Amino acid sequence: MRGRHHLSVLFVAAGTAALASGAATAQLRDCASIGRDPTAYKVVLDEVSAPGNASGDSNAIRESLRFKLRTQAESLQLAAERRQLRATVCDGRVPPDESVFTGDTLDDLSRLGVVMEVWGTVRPASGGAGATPAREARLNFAVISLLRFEPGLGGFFDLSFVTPAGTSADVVLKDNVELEALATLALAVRYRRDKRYDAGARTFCEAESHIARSAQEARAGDAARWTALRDYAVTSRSALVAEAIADPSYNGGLKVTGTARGCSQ
Amino acid sequence: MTRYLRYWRARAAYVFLACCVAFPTSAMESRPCNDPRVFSRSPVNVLLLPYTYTGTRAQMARPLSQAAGRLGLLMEHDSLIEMTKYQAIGVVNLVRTPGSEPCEADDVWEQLVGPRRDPQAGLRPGGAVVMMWGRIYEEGAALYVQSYLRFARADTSEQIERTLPSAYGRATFAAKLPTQVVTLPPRRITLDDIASINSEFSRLAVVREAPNETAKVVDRLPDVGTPGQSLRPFGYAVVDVQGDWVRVVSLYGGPPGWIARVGSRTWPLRDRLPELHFLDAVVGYLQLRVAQEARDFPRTVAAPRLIEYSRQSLARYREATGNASPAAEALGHALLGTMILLGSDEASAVGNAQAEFGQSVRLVPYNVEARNLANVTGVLRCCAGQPRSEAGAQATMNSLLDAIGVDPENRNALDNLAAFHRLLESWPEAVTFIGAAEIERQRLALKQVTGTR
Repeated sequence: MRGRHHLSVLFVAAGTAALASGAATAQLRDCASIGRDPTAYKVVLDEVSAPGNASGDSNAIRESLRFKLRTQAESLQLAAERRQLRATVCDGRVPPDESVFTGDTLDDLSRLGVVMEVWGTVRPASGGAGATPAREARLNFAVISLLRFEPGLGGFFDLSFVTPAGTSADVVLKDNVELEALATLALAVRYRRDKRYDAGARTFCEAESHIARSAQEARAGDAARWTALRDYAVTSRSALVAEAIADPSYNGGLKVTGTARGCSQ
Repeated sequence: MTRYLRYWRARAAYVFLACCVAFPTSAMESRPCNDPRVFSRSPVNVLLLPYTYTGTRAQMARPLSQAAGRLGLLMEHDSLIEMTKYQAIGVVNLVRTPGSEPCEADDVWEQLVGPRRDPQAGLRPGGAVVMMWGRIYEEGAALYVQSYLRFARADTSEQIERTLPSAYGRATFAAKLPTQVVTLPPRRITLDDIASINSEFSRLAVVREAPNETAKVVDRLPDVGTPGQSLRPFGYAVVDVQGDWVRVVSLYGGPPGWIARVGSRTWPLRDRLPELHFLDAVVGYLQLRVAQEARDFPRTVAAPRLIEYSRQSLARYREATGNASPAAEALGHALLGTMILLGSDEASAVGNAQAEFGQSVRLVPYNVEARNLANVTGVLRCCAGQPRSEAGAQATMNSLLDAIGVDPENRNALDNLAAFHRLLESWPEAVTFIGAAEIERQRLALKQVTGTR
């Protein structure tokens, strides 16, 4: 339990019902920087919305979530050279819901090198009536690489903070481990898809570590999903190494080791 | 023109102090952000950028609240006071001047340290810079602070190498630090905290005629409680330390005198921003490396004391932050292990360094340079002397292969395995844990990776 506020990580499977809904026609606001250098892999960090609620409390939590997103972008960018993953900030862009990440939009984002898109929402929390109504601040993750190449896993995740109005400490002070976990997993999946074996092996390894830590920090109900995600990363890394060794055009370091190794402590 | 005359006069004063005063000098200065410069005589310069709001350039350009604006100056004074123990340190507080663009960390770094750095900015080859910057979010009676830290030496890699003789040429094992840029855990500072810090600061930020609390006040450091004062050009060189007092000479014509030096345990800012302890540990590391590898800088504190300073600072940082940032903590262990290894080649030192590197690997098992560091000490322990340990060699071989498994492109990891092959081949006794055919397979694979083996 983190602090005195409720904190949970919720996983939302990419349900076919949602994909088929009318909301799929909703539009995403364009963001010029996404199209810049389509060969670079990117995490897109969008805006925070507070739909249907313009109160001061919501605005404060919205600003705190915005601060969190922007500082996360800066943190990702600091590691950009090592990971070859760029953080792209898109002010004003808010996906209306998950259903926009389908069809041509999904293909276009993937083609432009986007591996994950993140945005925030602030809403009144259910059951939050009373003198100090609670708010739910939520970071939403659309893992484009999973949606595009591993649809069976479900590519939507969210991290929610239920907090009394006017208090944003949990939002701001939360570490970035889930973002790191999902961003590195998304990147690794893309590397594997693009047969960039060395970078893929390195990045799956990093993802495993961040996912394991996310599982440790998760509530009991969510830990199993993180553990499954880690199993996927481990299995994928082994498969990637096998693919590299079987590829006659590959002459990299994985042929020295001969197996997937080194990722555990 | 006047500004530059004043600047060069200040530089001349500092160079004079650095050259002609027996005690190596420390100095601090506030400068405009669009003209970043460091003290070229200082082996290490700490650069503090103004903390800003997040967002677009326009959003970042909003003037900070009074409390938020004070933070940078508090950190500057705290850093100078704390770091006088290094005897030669530059502390530069970059200030955004009215109407200018927000201070961008990338731009400042590029001007000072990047490959196309401005030679007028003062950083000489081998000299080091640590830059700290951050973002601020204000809500009600609290400030939230997100800090970032980056460091480098000009034209110099943070690599360590250890070479062992072998019958087939020298076997050199190499590693770098796991990272040179970290995101530190966000912190919450209440406005009550700020008030108490300012109160303490006002008591201490005076220049006295003599090193005691009752001596006459001859000058005051800029009053961070007064908006606009932070833009007044000011700077001091430290020319002497006596107990809890440091003697300062103004770089801008003020009277000389003494300011109180306060231990980090009692200076309240460090309780609230433990990243300053981390900064201090990085400075200790860089002081050691500059002292050992660069010429033309004043020699300062001996290696064992530098190691102890960094060890204490890292312990205080960990005490305050717990395991909130594994990457920063792993870097801390790597810094300390590297310092220990640079300080001594004795077996006990190698063992202590290996323990630190092992902690680093535990925290960031995906980081190949953390593993390379551990492998350098692993080789020294198993295979540098007599008797050789075959079990140790086997474990080391596995660790070397693990490093390549973590990052198959990493040059140090690949070269370290090749060096280990040379070392094993020169052993007079037969190696039983690995067959000749497997070594040959690895060697051919390595040759294909780099084309040179």
